[in-house]
Amino acid sequence: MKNTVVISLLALSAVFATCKKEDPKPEPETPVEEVPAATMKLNFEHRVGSDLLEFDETYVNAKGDSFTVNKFIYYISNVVFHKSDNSTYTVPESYYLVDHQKNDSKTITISNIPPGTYKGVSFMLGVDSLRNVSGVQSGALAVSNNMFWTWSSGYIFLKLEGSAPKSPNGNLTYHIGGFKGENNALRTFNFSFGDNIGLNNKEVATLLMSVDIAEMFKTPTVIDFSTFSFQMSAGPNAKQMADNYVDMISYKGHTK
Amino acid sequence: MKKIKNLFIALLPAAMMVACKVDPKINTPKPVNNLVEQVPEGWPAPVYRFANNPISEKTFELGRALFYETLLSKDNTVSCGSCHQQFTAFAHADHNLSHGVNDRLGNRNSPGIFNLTWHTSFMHDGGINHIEVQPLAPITNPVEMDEDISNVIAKLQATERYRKLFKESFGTDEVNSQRMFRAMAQFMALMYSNSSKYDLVKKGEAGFTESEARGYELFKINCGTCHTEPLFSDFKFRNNGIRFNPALNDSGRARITNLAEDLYKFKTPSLRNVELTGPYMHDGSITTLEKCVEHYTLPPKNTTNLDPSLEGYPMQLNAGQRTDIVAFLKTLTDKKFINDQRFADPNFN
Repeated sequence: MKNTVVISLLALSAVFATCKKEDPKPEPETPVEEVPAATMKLNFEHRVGSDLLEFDETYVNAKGDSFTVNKFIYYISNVVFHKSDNSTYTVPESYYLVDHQKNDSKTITISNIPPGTYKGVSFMLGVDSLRNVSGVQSGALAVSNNMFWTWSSGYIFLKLEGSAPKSPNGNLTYHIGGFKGENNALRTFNFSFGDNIGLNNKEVATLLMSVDIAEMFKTPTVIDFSTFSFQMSAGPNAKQMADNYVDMISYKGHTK
Repeated sequence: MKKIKNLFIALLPAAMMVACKVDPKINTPKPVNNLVEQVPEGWPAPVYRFANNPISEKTFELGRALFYETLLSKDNTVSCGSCHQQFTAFAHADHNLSHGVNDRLGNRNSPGIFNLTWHTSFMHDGGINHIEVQPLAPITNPVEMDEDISNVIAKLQATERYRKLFKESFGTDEVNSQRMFRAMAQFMALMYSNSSKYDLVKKGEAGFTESEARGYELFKINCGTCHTEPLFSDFKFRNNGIRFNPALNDSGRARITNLAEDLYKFKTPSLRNVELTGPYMHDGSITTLEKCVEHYTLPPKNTTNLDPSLEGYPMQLNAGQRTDIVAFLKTLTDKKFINDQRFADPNFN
């Protein structure tokens, strides 16, 4: 009899154990073991040359032509932190939409980073090819964010819109993307911190990144608004713009 | 005592299942009124495998409701079902070009919808790379439904019927683009058309008439290289010599690839249900099946990037042979599919 009771109890607990994974309430007797973790924040500051970006302010491009900006949105993805021992920590599912109009979006907070000594960070501007061909995604990658071409599948990596007197219709519309072949516009940015950043458990470091829109119109191709003011698809012109903005982001230091 | 113990152990798996069943988040795929992801015999492996989109009756029904939902369009007048009607195998009857909100005309013919699970790309130019993102194109196209996805989501979220359907399908009543398009993909991807007379003949359950049989032999020689069995398309892009219409100015596949070599190429359509899907060609410029077959016996009207198999007068077919080919093409009509209540407008059931 006793045996049966024991077996029954064991069986009952087995029944619960099988369902544990989907049980919304954690068992009170087994506290979750805390994994040491630190936090890195990536703060993106938008500039045009030496000025902070303000929508509808007038700036001058490398060619000497004036322009304004009223939309600036881009994807940061596939963030990897590089440790001083040359190992790396790849942030899982790291897709973020940075929108100048939304202040919160300009600071990307990445928690659950293993404590350690870090010497650099890398990330992509854009969305890797796999997520361009895998159907509907969620979060930053949701198609409802209007950063996905509906007529020729693929993510828009960066949108810059504004105005320029030299543009034939007065507008600047640059929607840059493309994940295929020679017109791939996906660009990876690598930054060395110079000084290593040591992160202990629960510590937070903020990386200050500067994004200079003037660089989009400068090197290697000086953009002439009278001949190139509109791009809304992947292709050679989108690639040219990606080659221009590959030096747009710089690392300015960190705070802890 | 031993007996009771054994009985308990025997019942244990059942007890475990019962215990797990109460979990509301359970998300195991189950067949939808016999709609199982089952590849017809002799067919190639499907492209879309419902990854992260487990087949369930509730999700299928949500997708069906969305397919027939006019809230997807800007002025709430046009649904997918407006231009994809079941009685024409989900093409648009009597419309050479698609017809959008405010009577706007598109520049392409609305194709039939079936067996999409096997398609490697979507639209006449193949611009869409995945079935889940396909509905984005007609919903946002100004000459079709002209709506913004965020607006669609807001409209659905404000509708009690959809809050209920999303909750039944996904556990909460949140409407978001991923849920919406996965449900629609599920409905569309499960539209299998494989019950035509041709299919019955292949299974040995029916026989061709003499004319159909002659037509089939002619078809295999003259048409079957591009319209490959059993799906009756290889889904590749070609210029079949159709006259270029300057008013539409449609560059075809080149619009997507930017390549001169793709100029005027369009995706080879499946010929299943072709009796029902007229008018024909990407621009709806040919009205009858007879004229479609005749087209291939005449000199091509646009020779830029013309498919090599169509040089000159590609097909030497007399009137009787053309009639036989049309007779065969009509054996590809799937009456079971076009009368299948699972795909019908739920608002009229």
